[in-house]
Amino acid sequence: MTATPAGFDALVALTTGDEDLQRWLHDYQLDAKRWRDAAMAELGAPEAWRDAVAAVRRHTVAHLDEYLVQFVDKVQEAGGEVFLAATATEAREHIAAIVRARGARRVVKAKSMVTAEIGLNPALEEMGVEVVETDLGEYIVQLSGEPPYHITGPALHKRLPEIRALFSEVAGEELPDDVEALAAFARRVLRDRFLTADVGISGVNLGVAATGTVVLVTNEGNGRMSTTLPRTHIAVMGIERLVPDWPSLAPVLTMLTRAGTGERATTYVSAITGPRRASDVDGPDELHVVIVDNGRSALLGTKYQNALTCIRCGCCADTCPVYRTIGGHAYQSVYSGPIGAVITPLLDGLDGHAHLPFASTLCGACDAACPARVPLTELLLELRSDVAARESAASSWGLGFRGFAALSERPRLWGGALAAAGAAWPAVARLPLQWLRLLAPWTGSRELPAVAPRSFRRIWAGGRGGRRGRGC
Amino acid sequence: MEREAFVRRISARLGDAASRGPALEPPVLPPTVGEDEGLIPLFTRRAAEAGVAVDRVETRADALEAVAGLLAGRGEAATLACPEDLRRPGLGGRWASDPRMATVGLSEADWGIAVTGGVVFRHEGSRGRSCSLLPATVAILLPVSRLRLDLAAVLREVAGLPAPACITFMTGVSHSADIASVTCRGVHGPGEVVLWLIDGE
Repeated sequence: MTATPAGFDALVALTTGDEDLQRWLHDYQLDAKRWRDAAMAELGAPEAWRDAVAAVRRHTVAHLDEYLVQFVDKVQEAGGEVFLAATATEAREHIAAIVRARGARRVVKAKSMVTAEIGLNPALEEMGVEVVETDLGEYIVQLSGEPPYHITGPALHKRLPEIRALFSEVAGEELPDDVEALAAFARRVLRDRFLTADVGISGVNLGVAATGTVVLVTNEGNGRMSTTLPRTHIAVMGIERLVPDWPSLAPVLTMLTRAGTGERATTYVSAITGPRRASDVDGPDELHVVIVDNGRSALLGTKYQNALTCIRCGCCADTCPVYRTIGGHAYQSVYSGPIGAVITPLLDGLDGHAHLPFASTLCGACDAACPARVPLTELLLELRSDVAARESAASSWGLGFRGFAALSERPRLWGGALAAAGAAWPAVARLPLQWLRLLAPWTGSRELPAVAPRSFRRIWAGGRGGRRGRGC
Repeated sequence: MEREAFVRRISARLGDAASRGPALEPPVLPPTVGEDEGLIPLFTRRAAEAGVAVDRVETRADALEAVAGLLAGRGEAATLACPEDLRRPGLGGRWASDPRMATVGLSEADWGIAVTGGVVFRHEGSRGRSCSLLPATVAILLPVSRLRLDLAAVLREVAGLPAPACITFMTGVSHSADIASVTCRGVHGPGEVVLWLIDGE
């Protein structure tokens, strides 16, 4: 059996033991489903839209080398700088060098998963730079010192009193228990940070290869602020986040917002092509695009290639019964939910993450919802297969299955084993269960079923009840 | 990492280009629902649903007069930021020297998208990003002739023009539900958006 790390078990217990949070997550998923279903129904023919998104994304990933070259050339033509980072370390060091060279003391960040993936904030903070997350949800979890809980809702788990307490601490006074007032407070604090930041760092939802354009999707306006006010803009993107051209952006953007938030469009989509031109009245003087591989290219040409077609809408988590039960932090990754269970072991390796592909019921709800048709359950099964192959040689899990296989292939042996187990069970059941410690991960939350004194096969063969035929 | 090595690694993984499937055809999208309603009613309804106050006027002069009226209704302290080419004496002369100080920002949209009720700004020259971003209230002019049915239609036109440093697609008001899943307006961006559709243009 694949062992779960102690941290995973503890984080799951935290969520499953919190009835209020369980209700909260349950209600959130119901709301999210209602919004998404309504948005898809209004769009009409959602399956055809999903086909269009999948076609664009799969084609782009299959031709990623060509589109990357085109994208890089076009960013440079537009006056931007490009850095290709093979690893998280290379990306961090390059961004840190840009920040250092500008003598920056304060950085504002628009929501970016890839910067969390490469561990950018701690690296900049070690340099003495103040890093301010400006997406309201990211700001909340930055204040609480927690990782994001959800791909699109980083503070999804935070209830009003907790947020009020966090903001009151920043304010130095008790703030009211009122959402509008708390949002207004955050606006005031963060507006000052935008106006005084030296560097703005953003993620990239999509890149348009034909023009070297980086596209950012936000509802609050923090993406626009971070890419308009500071003199230097650094955009950080995974290698796979491209689309070929503007027309192919249409289905992807349309479905990204409808699947992610149930909206027709997010309030802001910024399409940035290079730094400000000489005649422009505003915008940053410099644009740096940092393109991060960090394990992604290793998936190309493998059975996992389609994992790279994800558009990070987060709707797989919104449909997942396991996410609803264990919560976002249990994944111990920037990426939570079904896509997190797939992408985290693929990018970071199975060590420490081998349990994640098993954090799924394989019910297929994520497959049915995914706007890009990422075959999530298929990918989870492939990962389980890899985990099993890796562990079967030595583990009790593998040993158990090999024993089961040996017995089940030999009917006489199987019958004998069952008879022996049935005869021995009354005595075994009286033993203290400590001897079952080997099975503790399984029996800890389940009852071990008793072995029947007579097996079904024996009853059947013995003619008890007597009849054979239909209905048996 | 050096560019050629970076790309070569990806190419090696992907294998022979010929085996990777055909070139991408332009996406075939289903017909947009709502087309029968007509562009103006559809845009007006959807923009209102996104939190935008929409009004129709005959001419640009009427629109600017309405902006002046909006400004006057906000009291003595109200100031306006707008691109040079939209400045008119009739706007009242209460200009903010910097969009950061303005209470109202005025911008003209390059397109409207009927299906979403959103607008699109190509930011270049004096038509900067700040006027539609920093003030708490944003006023938008949109000639009716610039209305398009959906995002795909606008993107086809975008593709045919040189890309400016920034294009903003803006739909409704700044909002967030990050505090306890309750939606609130005006987080970072403008919480009030007023739009005049100009019939005569």
